[in-house]
Amino acid sequence: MNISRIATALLSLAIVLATVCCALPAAAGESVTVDWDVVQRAVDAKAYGVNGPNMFDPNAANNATYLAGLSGITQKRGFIRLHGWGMVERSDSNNQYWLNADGSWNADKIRSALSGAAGAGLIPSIMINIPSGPGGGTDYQDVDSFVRAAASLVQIVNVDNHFGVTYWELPNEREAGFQSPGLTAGQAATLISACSRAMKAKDPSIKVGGPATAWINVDYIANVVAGCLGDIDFVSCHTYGGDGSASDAAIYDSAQAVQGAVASLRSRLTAISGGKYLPIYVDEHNFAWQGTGRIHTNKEAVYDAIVLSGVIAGGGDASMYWHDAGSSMGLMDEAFRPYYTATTFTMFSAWFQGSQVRSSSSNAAAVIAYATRSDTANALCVVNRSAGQQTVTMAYNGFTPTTVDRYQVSSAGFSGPNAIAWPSIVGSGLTVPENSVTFLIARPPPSAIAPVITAQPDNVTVAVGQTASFRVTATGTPAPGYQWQRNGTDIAGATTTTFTTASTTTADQGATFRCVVGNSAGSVTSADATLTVTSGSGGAIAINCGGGGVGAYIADAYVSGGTTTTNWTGAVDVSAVTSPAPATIYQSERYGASFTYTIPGLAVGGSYTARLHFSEDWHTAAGKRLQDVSINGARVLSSFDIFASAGAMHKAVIRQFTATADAAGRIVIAFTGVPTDVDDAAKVDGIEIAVNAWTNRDIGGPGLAGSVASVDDTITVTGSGVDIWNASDGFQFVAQPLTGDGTIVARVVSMQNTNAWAKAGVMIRAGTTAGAVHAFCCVTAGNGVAFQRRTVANAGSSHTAGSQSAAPRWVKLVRQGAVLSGYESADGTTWRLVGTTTISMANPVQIGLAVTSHDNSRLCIAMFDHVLVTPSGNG
Amino acid sequence: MRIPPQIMTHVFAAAIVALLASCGAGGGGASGGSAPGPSAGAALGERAVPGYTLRARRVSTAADGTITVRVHVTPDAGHPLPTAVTCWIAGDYRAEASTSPAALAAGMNDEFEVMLAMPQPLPADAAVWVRLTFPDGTVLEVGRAAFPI
Repeated sequence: MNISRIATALLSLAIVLATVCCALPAAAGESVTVDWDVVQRAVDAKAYGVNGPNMFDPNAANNATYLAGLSGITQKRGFIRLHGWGMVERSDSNNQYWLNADGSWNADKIRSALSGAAGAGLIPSIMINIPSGPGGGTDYQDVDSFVRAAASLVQIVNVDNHFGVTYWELPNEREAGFQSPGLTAGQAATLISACSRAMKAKDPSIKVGGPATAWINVDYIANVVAGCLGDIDFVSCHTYGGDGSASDAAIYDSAQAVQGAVASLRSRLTAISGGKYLPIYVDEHNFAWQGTGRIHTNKEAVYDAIVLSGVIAGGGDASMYWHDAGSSMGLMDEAFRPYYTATTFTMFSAWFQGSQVRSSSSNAAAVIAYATRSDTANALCVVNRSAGQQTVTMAYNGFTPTTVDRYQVSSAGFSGPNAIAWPSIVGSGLTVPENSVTFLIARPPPSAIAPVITAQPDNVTVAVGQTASFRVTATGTPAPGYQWQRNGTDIAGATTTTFTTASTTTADQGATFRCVVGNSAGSVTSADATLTVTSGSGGAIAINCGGGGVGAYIADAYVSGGTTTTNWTGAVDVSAVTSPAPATIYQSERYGASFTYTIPGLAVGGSYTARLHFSEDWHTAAGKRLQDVSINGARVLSSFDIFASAGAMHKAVIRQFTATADAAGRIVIAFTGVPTDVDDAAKVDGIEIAVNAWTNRDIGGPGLAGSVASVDDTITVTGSGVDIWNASDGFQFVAQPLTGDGTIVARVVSMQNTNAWAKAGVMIRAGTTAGAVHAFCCVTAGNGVAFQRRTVANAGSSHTAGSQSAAPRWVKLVRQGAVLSGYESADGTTWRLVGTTTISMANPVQIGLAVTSHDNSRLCIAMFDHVLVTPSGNG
Repeated sequence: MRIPPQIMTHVFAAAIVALLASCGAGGGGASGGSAPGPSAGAALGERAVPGYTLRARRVSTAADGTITVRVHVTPDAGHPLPTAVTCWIAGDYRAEASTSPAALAAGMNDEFEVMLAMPQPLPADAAVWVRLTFPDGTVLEVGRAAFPI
């Protein structure tokens, strides 16, 4: 912005003289026609912007009201151009200067000023203008000084502080003929080329443009571009309506002339750019270049709407209001409260997106039309620039809405939305007050789109007795329906995206499942998914010996020899064991002089835990039943006496062993009775086989060595370490590999308070280095539950607080693709999300239990139970 | 020269915000009309996070339900103040929550102020959530159980 605009004033006067005969008072009965199917050009989402000089001032730039105002005006889409001459001062009354006393950039102030925009998500909208070098006066003619300053600013903003500002512009209204001394087109081209190269040497991702001329000076801009075509990414210029004394009509005429001027510029650029597309940004405009009582009124809204639409219609790509807040020209007042005219920009950014379509009016000296079409709205802007109310006849070709939402900026202020039946507009016409902007927004009914399957059902392998789930994901409009089929036949009631079988049997082996997905636009059938029923789903199985299926325990199977019986239906005492089987398991048994269970389908050489469940239901004293048990030929129990071990009848005893699957992927468990004076029969009530893939290690060299121990279902993890936090960790990690998606659940039963930030919980980690990326859902000794993560290796950690609960507390971690989510629960049934993050980790990852004492000189003992790792089988 | 804001302009501005909010087109963020409510100055809670202690309080409630919240950040020794503080109101944690930036309260260097509109309907267990962001990428988030409203 420069207050000296004699040249522009002369141009405006010429326009007035040239068009005064056309600007006749409009008669009633004008018409507007929109051809929704005739697309003119794409609209850049940043097309409707504003200058933000207040953002130079860290106080304003971090003011929540200011940022909210800018966000509303631009809808976080439109450009926000940081331009102000105060920027290249060493002090100014508005605190907008970015220079130190020695002429260097004030990095702290710049960082502070841009942090607010970063926090508000506005950085993608930012364009930084560098109006001059740091020397003041006429130093824009000192190319070397300007280049050093521009490159240094990119270094500070994008390299040192990683703000990622894409758009950079220089200089500002320095063209010869407007300024004295000014830059010739050749000098401006040299300046832009040199700066662009130096700035891109700092950050190659940026776009550099200019020359930000004081008006749409086609010849000058074209000559600049011709001189720096390889180094310039966009061109920029300004336009103002005139001085404050000009008539409404003269200023509206000047606004309408913008479209033609931009079209001329577009034509010239096309001719000289050799196929390179250069966006045109008219990055300053306002009703006048100084205050006038008509700014902040409906007349300014009329001017703005004409310019915003005219720039796009003329082949430009964006226009930006001068300026954001304060003085006589801001869209907001000094307290950052938007004037009602600011809604013009809000409406354009909110609705006038996608593509501009053809529109016309019967008399552009009275009514101007502008229309766009996007996925979310058919939007029409009708500007009545005349001094009288108009009734406009409307014609829509290619689209007939049922209703439209009408918004309006007029001398009565802003109104809307008002839902209006479209037939009433067609029949009676659209009434638009004098000097007003009316927006008609129609939401197109969604077109019917046939379903498309985006995720096919996967093959599923389960153990006998388990259920199997199949899932399909599809898109379509309207929302599609689902019908699952088994072997090509519909399954009654299976009409959602997921189908879960009943408990599987061997009869289910090889069955195929698919889903027919349909809506009014068509249907599609998913791929077949095959169900495989195995004995152990690759590793885990539980057998109710001598009985039927109970919960996770399948009916007695994989056995030879022996006899089954259920000779006890009363209560079973399980108080002396942890993680007992359901009581029913102890009521049935297999017994005999010898019998053998051969569990197939296990991983060859895989490590497993075998848990054998016993309860004496027949003999009333010790010494009556003795038995030997061997696993894969190795004796694990000799003359085992159930009664003696339990001390009573009907009391559960569990014996747990580590076993390795043989070369055929089997574990063979043989039971042999040892003859006594009353019996020679062995017996067993239940068998569990579980994968044993856990390993433990210290991560990050904690001060004291950690360890792990397990007794039945309880795992005790002892860990030292400074912390699991910041850029590297120190702790004890008990983990197993996981490929693909999966879940770990555990209850933190107890933990020592070695420090309020001692932690015990479940972790998924990319590796075992101290700085590996990970997600961690933990209970702390004194600061509640937390979901923590490191998303970049060897970088800082982040923390989301959960409840203030202490142990005992359930924690859970879920990996779905790159998304990791932490949960907590009081009972292991009702879960609440603590936090979530996105981390891409190569397979396999490590999943398990983590404990740190937060004190390298101490060990923290934490106890876990109900630990369960569930792979999703999609790795 | 600055033209003094007109009273009617502010009325219009408030209407714009209300109307745009009702139609989903977004709001301009006008801030007029705040007045202390019955819960003025109410403490919302205190919570320790790694390296910091956060205290939040509601200092005012506007007629339209918008609340003004202040968050006091006390760093442990050697820990810098955050470069950005953002807040929102929600029940459960939502990674994609739409946040409002908090600004340093007048005259303070460790207390941040933000205006938050009450979501409609108000979710169960509604709380003020606070996110602190640091230059190294560290993010600290506190919400549901810490600062219930």
